[in-house]
Amino acid sequence: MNTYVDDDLVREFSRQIVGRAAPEELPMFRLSTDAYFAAAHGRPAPRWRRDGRDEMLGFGVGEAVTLLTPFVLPVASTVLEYLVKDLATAAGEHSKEAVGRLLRRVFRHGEDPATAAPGGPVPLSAEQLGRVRTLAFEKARQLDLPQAKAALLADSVAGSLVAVR
Amino acid sequence: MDRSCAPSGRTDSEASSQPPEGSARSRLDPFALPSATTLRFILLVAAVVGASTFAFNFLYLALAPEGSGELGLYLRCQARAGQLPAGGITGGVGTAAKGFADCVAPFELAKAWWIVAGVAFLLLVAYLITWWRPAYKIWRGRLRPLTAEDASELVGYLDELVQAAGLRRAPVFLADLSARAPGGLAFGRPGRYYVLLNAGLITKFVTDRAGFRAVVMHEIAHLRNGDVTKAYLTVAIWWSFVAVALVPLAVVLIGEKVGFTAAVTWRLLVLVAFVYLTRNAVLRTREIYADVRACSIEGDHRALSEVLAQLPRPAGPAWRRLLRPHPVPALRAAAVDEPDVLFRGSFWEAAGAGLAATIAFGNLETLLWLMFGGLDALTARWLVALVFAPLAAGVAGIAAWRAIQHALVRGLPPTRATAIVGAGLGLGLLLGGPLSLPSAVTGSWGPLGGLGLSAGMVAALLLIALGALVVGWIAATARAWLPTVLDRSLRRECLVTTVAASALLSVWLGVYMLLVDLYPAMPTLTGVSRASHAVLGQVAWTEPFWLWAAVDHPVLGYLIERNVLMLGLVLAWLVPLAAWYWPRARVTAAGRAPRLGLAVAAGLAGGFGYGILVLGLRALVHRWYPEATRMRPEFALLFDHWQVALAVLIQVVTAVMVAALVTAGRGPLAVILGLVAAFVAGTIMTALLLGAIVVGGCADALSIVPGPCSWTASTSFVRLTARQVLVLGSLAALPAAFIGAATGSLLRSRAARSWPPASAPFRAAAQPASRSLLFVPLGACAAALLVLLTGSALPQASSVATQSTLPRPSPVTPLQPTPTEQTPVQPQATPAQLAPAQLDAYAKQACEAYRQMRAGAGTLGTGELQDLLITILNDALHSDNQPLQEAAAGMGKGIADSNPQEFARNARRLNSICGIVGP
Repeated sequence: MNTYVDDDLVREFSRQIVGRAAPEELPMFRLSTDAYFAAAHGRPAPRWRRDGRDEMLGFGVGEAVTLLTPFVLPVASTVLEYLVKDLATAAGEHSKEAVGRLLRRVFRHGEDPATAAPGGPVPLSAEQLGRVRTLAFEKARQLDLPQAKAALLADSVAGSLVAVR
Repeated sequence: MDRSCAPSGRTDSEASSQPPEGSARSRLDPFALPSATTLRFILLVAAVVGASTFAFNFLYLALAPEGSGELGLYLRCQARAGQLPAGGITGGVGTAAKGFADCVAPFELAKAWWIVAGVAFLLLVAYLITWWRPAYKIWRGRLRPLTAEDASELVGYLDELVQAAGLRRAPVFLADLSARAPGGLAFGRPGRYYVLLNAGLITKFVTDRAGFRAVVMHEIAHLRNGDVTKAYLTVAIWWSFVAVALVPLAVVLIGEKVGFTAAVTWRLLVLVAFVYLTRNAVLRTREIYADVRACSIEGDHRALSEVLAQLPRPAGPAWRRLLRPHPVPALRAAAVDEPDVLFRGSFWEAAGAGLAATIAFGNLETLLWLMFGGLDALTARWLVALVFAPLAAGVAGIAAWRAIQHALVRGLPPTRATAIVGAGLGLGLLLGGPLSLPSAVTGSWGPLGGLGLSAGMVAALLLIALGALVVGWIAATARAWLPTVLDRSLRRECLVTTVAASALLSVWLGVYMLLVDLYPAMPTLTGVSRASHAVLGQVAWTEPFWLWAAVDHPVLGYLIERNVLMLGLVLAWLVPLAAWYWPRARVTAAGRAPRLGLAVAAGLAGGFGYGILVLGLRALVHRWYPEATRMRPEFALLFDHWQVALAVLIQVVTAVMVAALVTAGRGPLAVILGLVAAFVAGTIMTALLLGAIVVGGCADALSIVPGPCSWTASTSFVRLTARQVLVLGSLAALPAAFIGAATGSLLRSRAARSWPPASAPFRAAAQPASRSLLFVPLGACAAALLVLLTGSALPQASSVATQSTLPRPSPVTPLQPTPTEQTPVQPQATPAQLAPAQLDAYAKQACEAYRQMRAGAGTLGTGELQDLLITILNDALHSDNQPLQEAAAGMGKGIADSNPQEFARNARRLNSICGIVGP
């Protein structure tokens, strides 16, 4: 993971995306992100797959739904990493703290008013948003998310950034 | 409010007691009666644990140091099983029945403890699996609890659902993020339950709140129904059986002969398939109960029905449904609308119950004998039957109750449904024997194999008939009770009937198992009866032997001495009769009522008519036979036989007539009333038979042997007479009543064709008979039981009456004097004072065998000497001579322990007891 992008930032950005694209998944958002980061840090994944199994005292075999949260987190990480590079290059800043402040100004996330950088939120240009959207879409498709869902996800990513403006 | 679900907030009993105004009782409450699925779970567990005893038995043979010589012992004793000891000695029914167990018992106690330890270990492992499985499940799935921090609204909503369901303790709700299907799962252990919500289901909290609620309520309903503990414990016991018993057994079998290994293996496969399929069948039923429970809590089934409609139809052929723990969604949806499926009697369900009851019967029987070798043969089988039969009777009985309730509410004929259940139970009982693991050792295929074709077919039909009769009996009782209790919970009445049916099935299943095991010894035992028939036939007229044996056979003599059998016969008519005269008895809509008055009147007529006949018989015998003949003890036995045979015959006739008349008049409980009539008649006959002895003493023209005008019958003679008349009479009256009912049906159908309905000759009573008439059969029952159990109701005989039951005549020993009216009776001596001439028959036989062993010590082979030793032990055990028992046992122990001093000391004691002079 990019050292400029911490877990909290990914979490918050993802929450905004999920809140737009799949609000029904918010009740389990924290658990999902915990599991994602645990796996990212080497913790083993669940040792079973229950979908499609007719289990004792279950409800029966139903059609599985496609959840977005498992895709949102890696997409959000990818987008944030791109933004870090882009912002740092544009601002000529290389220190972690400075880049982090810039990034937060993009999202207005975690900004301490007492120590906030001067100036308001930093909006992204249309070109940047376009690149972000494309990046999100490609990453989602790379993760085998169906096209319609990938488009929805990408739109939500862009919408989360646009909304900051 | 949907009519198929109770309004929310009302308990089931409240709902069923207050049907909606203006509506007939058209809905079925599946919770008004208990579910049989708990009993099916227990029956599965019992069958598996019982089967494990076979595995541990075999493992002992293979692993224990003493096990290597066991097989030879088994084969030798198996060959001797059912045969009487050498020397032509009449060992009696008990000895013959216990032949195999008595043969191996002295060497098998250690193995018994091994088996017990194995079962205990199996249960311990099952307990550990049950305890730790939830933790394992949580670890394996990386399951996390849902907290208010994550989703306060969701957690608050779940709390509301738990309260609505009325759970005393809330489960822990977990989320499975890897599962994307909109479902859930209930699991846990006693005191700690979990409800797992799939990620796909959690999304429905926002997108489809009603669907979310329906699925969660279904899972909560599993907790409310108590499904988690039963299901997971059953599975745990199965896995423990596999690990602790099945796998080691499979390893040990590798070195065995191919034929034997194959015989055990296919039976194990059948057991595995049976347990798996039954488990799935029970789970499918529990799913429907959970759906119906959830629906009843909510008061509305629409949301649940919509969710069920979204479930995909399972793919694959229809037989694959047997492998699934969930029914097809269409069936579930239909059940929440109309839960009729929970009331239909299932042939396979009943057959499974019967199979589970007998597949491990032999295993437990063997274990019981290993541990308590001195148990009476029939008692041992009854104890084993008490483990399984109540469960099987419970499953079938509850099914019968539900079928009857369903038929009454829906206006359908109940007979077919209960016949299906009865046939299934009987067939299952039959199949359990050949499918049991011990049959792989004996090579027996149950009644069909060990008995020969014709006897086997009869035995098979009898067992099927037993199952059908028990269910039919339950149905008759349920039909009597249901019209009176449709407006409240039926659990109490169902429980009473089921307990009584359990007792009945236990008694008769034990008797059946004994008779099947006794079959190889039947020729010899029948020879005893034939010999007495021949001897007595030389004194006076005797009927053909086949009729004689129906009254006088060693097996019957053995059975009638069991008071439990009498209780079983009384219970058969007492419970259904009580159902009709319960405090709020009503006539059914068809206007039929039990004709108790007819039964009582017929019983009284039969009984007192018998009294007249007995007096007439006495007069004729007194005139036709000279006194010298009448004074012979053989004649006394013969006359006693005639009286008993006449009593049984009249009871049969009474039962036939009452059942025929009741059936012809479309009255209920025809067979039951036939039994009542026979029992009332039998009680009166017993009293009059004994009273006639006094009359004979007072009026010489009616005497068999001249005697005092006073009561001279001993207590034991009175008990024997009561048993013979009542038990034999009731046993004969049962098939007679069925014949009478069939005859009545024929008469009814002919009358219907010949007579206008208004003037049909066999119209039933419009009102039930007065409850006071119940005192007649109840009084007869009380009097009989008082006499049989205590003897305190009897007047003391004029002389000291001490002799016990009539000795059975044998082809070897001459007939002994019998306790007739005039035989002077000696004061009973203490055992230590008994001279050899005063030893009882068994003690004499033991001494005879001991003499043979002494005489053949230098010439007989080891096997023959061992046979004689076993004979001595058996006969001593059955005698009343305690010093003889101790000496015989001590001598046997001396041989087993290779202790010559112990052997010599007890041999000297035997010399003294048997009157043998010399070393």
